[in-house]
Amino acid sequence: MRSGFLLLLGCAFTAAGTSAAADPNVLTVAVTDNTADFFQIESSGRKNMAADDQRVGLVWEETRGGHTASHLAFRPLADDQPFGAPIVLGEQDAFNPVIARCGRHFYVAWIEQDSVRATAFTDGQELPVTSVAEGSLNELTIGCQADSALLAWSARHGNGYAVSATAVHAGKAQLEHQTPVAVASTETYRFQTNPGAAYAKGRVVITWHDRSTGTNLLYATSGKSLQQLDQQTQINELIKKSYEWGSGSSAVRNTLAVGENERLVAVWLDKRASRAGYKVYSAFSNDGGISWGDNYDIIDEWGAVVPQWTPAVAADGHERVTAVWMDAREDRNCIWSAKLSGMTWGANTNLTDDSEEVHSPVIAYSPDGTLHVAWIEIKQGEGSRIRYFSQSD
Amino acid sequence: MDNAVLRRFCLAVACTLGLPFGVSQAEPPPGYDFVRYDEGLRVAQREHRQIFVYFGRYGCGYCDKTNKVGFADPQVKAAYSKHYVLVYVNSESMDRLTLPSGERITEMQLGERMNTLGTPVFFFLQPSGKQILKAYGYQDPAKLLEMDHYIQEGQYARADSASPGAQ
Repeated sequence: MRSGFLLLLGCAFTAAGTSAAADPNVLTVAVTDNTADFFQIESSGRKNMAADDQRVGLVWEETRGGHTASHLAFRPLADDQPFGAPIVLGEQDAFNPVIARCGRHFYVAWIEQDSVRATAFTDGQELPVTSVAEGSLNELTIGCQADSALLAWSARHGNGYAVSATAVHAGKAQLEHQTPVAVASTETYRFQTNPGAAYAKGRVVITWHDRSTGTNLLYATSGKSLQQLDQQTQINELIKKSYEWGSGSSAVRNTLAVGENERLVAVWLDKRASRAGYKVYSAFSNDGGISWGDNYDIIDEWGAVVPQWTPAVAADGHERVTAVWMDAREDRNCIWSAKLSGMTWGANTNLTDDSEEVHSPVIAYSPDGTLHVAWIEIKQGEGSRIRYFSQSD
Repeated sequence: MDNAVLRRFCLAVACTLGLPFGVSQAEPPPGYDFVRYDEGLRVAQREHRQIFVYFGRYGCGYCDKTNKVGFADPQVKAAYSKHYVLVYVNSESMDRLTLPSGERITEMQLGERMNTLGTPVFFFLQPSGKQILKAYGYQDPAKLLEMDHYIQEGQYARADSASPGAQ
């Protein structure tokens, strides 16, 4: 009875004209009808899509060539054109691709052969691929600092993990990069994972998780530059329900955006709910990551009964901030979103009301406020495809 | 001073002294040969053994209690070590697993696919990976042994058999 009621309510949301499926402009970016081939949209901070006022770029992994390859495709925004032919990133197994639009450059990076590889596209011209760092890498993210890109990654360090970061800049003929720096002490924080990267209020901000205290906590390290990282703050509230057992709630899969007045918005999965899995939480910083305020739950009461997965957040640099995630409150996996108004997240809105199973959403904003959304759709027994749509106010 | 009071006293002292109390909670229980999910599936198919999958999380209170009470029982250890390929999944890890289909997903994504909801969650799987039984939350020794009997005696194959408190 209750699920039926929830289903009716969910349909009411989608009937309000907010869903992508009702939009004839939903595009297919890539498709396979071979059930043995897979797409993957996965990166630290879910930075798989970026846009300027002329085009949107999307990066993903796929196994169609018999190995894991990373691909990039651009879509010109004029005249509702489709995505162009994919560009293969790297020459060997390549995963965790990320993309950011910083100034007039699209920076793209990925992990290939224990190396962080990066390139940049400026006015359609691609710079030579550069190796930025090496190690036993498993996570990579990207952010912008003016027209340069910030790259941060987690790599094996002894029996744990360490997060490092660098800045890369598109020169005339090649990508220039600094010597990578450690983001936090590996003696105190032995399991640094899942980095995010941003620049606000004249400060570089790297977010990361660490479980050295016994549970995953979310931290921000910030400073005037990567070489001057001088502040470290815990972002998530630790909720400890048992005095005797365990170490309390965890925060994982953080994603960052820079909103109006360079306010930082951090969004993550938080395990503080008793029985319904992870909830999507958020916090804000108005001083470039030095201090962070209270944690705010993004999920409304209808989504509180199911776990949420794979959150992503994007901002247009002005008033628009949107978070997306996947949950199954309607008894199947749908992509849900919420828009931020001031400090308040709006109603949860279903972006995908067609009947297929969907997952792994990513989003980006164009400077004009157009929201771009992409996700993976699985047709049981018929393969899968990457879907995309854009939405203007 | 009873055990509970003593434990609280020790915790208070540890906190006061800044000792790393509570570190490394909710890893797989010590003394068991837990392996990664993809490796466990390969071993199970090769040796035609059933699989026991433990989805845990660092910090998880009921994982901690299950480890220190449930899995600390010698009978549980003997039964589970003998009967199953033991798989542990860190439900918050971004480490990649390669599924039998060839798809590479993170451990956290596996939790999403298997609808784990929270932690701990325990799955009993056939060697093929097909789910037999799923159990949520804290499991004491009696419950762990009851589930083992249910699986080993093949009760799950009989439609009229009630599963032992699991979903």
